[in-house]
Amino acid sequence: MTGAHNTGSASLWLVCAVAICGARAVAAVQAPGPSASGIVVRDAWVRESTATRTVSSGYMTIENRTAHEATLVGVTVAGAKRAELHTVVQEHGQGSMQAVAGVRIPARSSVALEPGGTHIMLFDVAPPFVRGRAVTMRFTFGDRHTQTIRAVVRPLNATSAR
Amino acid sequence: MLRIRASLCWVGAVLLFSTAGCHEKPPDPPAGSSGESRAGSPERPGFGGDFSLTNQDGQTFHLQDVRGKVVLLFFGYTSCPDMCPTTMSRIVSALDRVGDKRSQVLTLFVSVDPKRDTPAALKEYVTSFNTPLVGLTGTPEQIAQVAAKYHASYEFVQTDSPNYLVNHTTAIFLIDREGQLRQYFAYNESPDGLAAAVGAVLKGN
Repeated sequence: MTGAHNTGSASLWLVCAVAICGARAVAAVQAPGPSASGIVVRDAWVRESTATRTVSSGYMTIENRTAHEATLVGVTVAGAKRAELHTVVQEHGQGSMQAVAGVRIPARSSVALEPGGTHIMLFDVAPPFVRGRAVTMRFTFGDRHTQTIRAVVRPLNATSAR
Repeated sequence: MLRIRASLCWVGAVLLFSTAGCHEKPPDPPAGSSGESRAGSPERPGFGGDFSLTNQDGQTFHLQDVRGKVVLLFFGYTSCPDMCPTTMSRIVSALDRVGDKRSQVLTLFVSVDPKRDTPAALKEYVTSFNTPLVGLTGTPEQIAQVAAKYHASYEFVQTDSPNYLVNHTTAIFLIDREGQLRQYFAYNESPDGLAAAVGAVLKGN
């Protein structure tokens, strides 16, 4: 599958929990910029959480400026004990979350992780993600390179980074 | 992975917590697997009906008490990381398009996860959405009865984890001023499409 718009792909059924983590919130959103890897992550955001609602979800656009396909295979997020790549599957009118092994970003293409589609699911968030602040995410790609970005915390009812 | 199913048996509408022995899915689900918003006969569903549950203030809520209002109904749970807040945001966006009759529309969020969704948890949740919104919970049996009326289903996943997930019907149900289920939509129905349908029911069409 190539990301948010190919949620019916059989590869989505390859279940794979992808990350463990923990850390601290930061105070500002980092402007996107091309990394040495040629991967640019922009408009990254997560939903706010509370002391009792300890789950969240992360969204962003990942641009691959290289001539080679890239695959996001792992994510850790500061403040969340567990982060997994998930996609929403609809079957017989019932929605479910399915873990996916990775998100492919074709060469010179972008993939959007969006609400209602492929996204990063975050469990055991503590302390709560507070709207207006930001969290640090570390991505691991199939070629083993890692990239750290920051994602702004948006209200529960948000639909985008802004 | 431990998966405990809580699907609805349609003969007797009994909720079972078991890994076997129950019909897996309702025979006529409200929304199609392909994301269609008009699967089956959604313009004339022929099911639905009144019910009583507990609201976010701990008070009994009767659907018949809100006659005169147009109601949007959604089954979900507050620990739902993506589908529920996404759908609720779509509903809010739709209501933003309804205009000055927005106050005549009430949105109901029926929890399928009463174990975690106490009235207090629901109160925190519904206040996060800037729209008139009632969070409803009840006993597992009460929830099952309401779900059965609306041909909704749900199943608990990974219940050995405190952050277990719940697969659930994601349709949005539109109920008219007389309490009749008029139509239902797939969760990814556009705010424009939802607003148009709400607007038509508000006009009495």
